[in-house]
Amino acid sequence: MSVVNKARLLSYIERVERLEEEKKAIADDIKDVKAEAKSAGFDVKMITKMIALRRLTPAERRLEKELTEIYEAACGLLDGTPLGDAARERLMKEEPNAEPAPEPPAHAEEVMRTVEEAREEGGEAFRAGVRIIDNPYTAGDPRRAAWDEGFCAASGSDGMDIPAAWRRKAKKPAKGDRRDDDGGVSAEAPASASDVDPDQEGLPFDDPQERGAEDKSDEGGDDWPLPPPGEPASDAPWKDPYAPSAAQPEGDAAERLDDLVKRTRRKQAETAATKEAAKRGPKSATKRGAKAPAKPRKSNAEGQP
Amino acid sequence: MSEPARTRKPDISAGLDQVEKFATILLPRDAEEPILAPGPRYAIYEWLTEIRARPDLESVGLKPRSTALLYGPPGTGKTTLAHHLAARLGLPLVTVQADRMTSKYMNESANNIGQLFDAIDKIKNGCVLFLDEFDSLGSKRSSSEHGTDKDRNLTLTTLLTRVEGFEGILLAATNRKEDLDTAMWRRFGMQISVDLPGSEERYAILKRYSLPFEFPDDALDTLADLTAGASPALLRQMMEGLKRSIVLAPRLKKPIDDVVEVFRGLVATTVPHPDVPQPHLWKKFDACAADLRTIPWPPERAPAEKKGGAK
Ligand SMILES: Nc1ncnc2c1ncn2[C@@H]1O[C@H](COP(=O)(O)OP(=O)(O)OP(=O)(O)O)[C@@H](O)[C@H]1O
Ligand SMILES: [Mg+2]
Repeated sequence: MSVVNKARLLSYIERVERLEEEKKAIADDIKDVKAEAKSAGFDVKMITKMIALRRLTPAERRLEKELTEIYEAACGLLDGTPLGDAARERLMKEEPNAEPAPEPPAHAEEVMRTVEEAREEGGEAFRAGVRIIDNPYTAGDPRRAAWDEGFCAASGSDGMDIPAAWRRKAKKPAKGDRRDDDGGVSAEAPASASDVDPDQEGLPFDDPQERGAEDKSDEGGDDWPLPPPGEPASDAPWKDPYAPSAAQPEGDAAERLDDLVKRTRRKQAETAATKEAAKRGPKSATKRGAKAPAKPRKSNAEGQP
Repeated sequence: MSEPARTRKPDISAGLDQVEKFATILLPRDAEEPILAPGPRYAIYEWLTEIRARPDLESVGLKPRSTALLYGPPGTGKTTLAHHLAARLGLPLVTVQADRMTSKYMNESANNIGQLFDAIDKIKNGCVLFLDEFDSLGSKRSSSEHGTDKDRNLTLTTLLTRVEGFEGILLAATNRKEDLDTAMWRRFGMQISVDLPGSEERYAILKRYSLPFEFPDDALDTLADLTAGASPALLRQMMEGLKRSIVLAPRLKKPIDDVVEVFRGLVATTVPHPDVPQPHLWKKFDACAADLRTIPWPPERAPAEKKGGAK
């Protein structure tokens, strides 16, 4: 090998080596970011999954979801829940006369709530009578702050406002506190904090919205639309991988898949019939008919025995 | 699963066992909303905002303040407020009874302080440190060279440096601010007064702790007037005592027909802290009897579904 070639070869080698080093550095950086996310309370496995999903186009994502569900069904991994809409639609598509499926719901993008969404949730929580300390986000998560701020903004207070149910209905006439004859007690003076404006009206908030007495009575927040922490939402786009898996149904996977396809087709025929009827009937029926196949899934997922 | 961070919460109690020797751990979900005057409320809210704006502050070379001293009469809600702040941040409150840190052995108190702060630093997911009855550790330095005084000074110096260098969130509380060392006092980023409640707050506290029994607004006004100068803790004790006597009356065969006698019993058994001025109801009970008779008695009980709702 000539001297010139040797130099060139070395330069290639060195360039690759440098790039390898950079690759390692970047890999380390990624690891750090993941570690940071983990310590902020996020699930790194899910983050990785989200990154993979974001790499796909919406169509690819949909395909992935459909196939996952169909394969899960075949392997008996659906734990007794019916197929999701996407998978069912895919199975139907194989029928020549099946109508084109509607656009897929953008579940994957909804999974991670943004800071702004958390802020809105906080406002909603206030209106639903949730306690401010029942913030669903973990300490340090920027969404925890946003939720709290949203709550405060909706309540027009600092979150420690005396609930309307415990306040005087009408402003008491300026009767003042009963003072001791010797002037000993004067509890009326507000706290004179060193760096605090002692003015009673001095809080920088809008007028607190009157919060109905009934808001306060269900403070446990039973009607709070979010799932309690630790539980997956009932209409979760996929199942909680950490949930204890239910017993797998018995039987041959291929048979089950067949059965599934048959049942799905039957459902589809029913739907088509309803639609046909609806075309002739009043408009409201169309709507209900079209939605019918989605119903059993939802009610089943929510009211699991 | 709709929200990974929600389904896989980090265990906020991890590492807390290291501090259990000195501390009681209060979890966020057990916090209550304190009923306070605007002053301390605003100070706490401002601090919360500051803590959350850490990145913005750091971008201009500032840091959020990390320490606050709560001072005020006993039973005004200092512990309750610290617990509420921690709960808003989603962190456990590590409550240290300061007198549990002191020891009669030489250097032992200073060692304890070192151990505590070291253990706090190791808590992975963070916590809020709360030093209650802080005056027992941070009382004024002495100039004498006597053994116990020297030890006391060492304790205080250790505390000064640890508080000053603390990176987390620390609150201390005292109801004897006069006793506190002045250098110690200055070490805190904030000094927040948690004072006795005013008329509005007393009304709300009386209402809250009288539930599910319902007194008309006028009756609560009367009680709020008669109890001017009472701490929230005393008001709570009084109203809970009232509920207790109503519920237990049939079992104890103790008649509760006379509202004045019921209150006389309550006032005799729930007494305000001797260091604070006595409210009217305690100081001149007989002069209050006529006002007490205007309270509709016995109180009505709210319908069942409301029971315990507003805690
Ligand atoms: N501002 C308040 N609003 C509602 N309840 C209160 C308030 N302050 C005190 N309480 C009630 O009184 C009791 C004692 O309150 P807490 O321990 O917070 O007082 P403290 O100021 O820490 O007293 P100390 O100085 O004796 O430590 C608690 O049970 C609490 O529920
Ligand atoms: Mg206390």
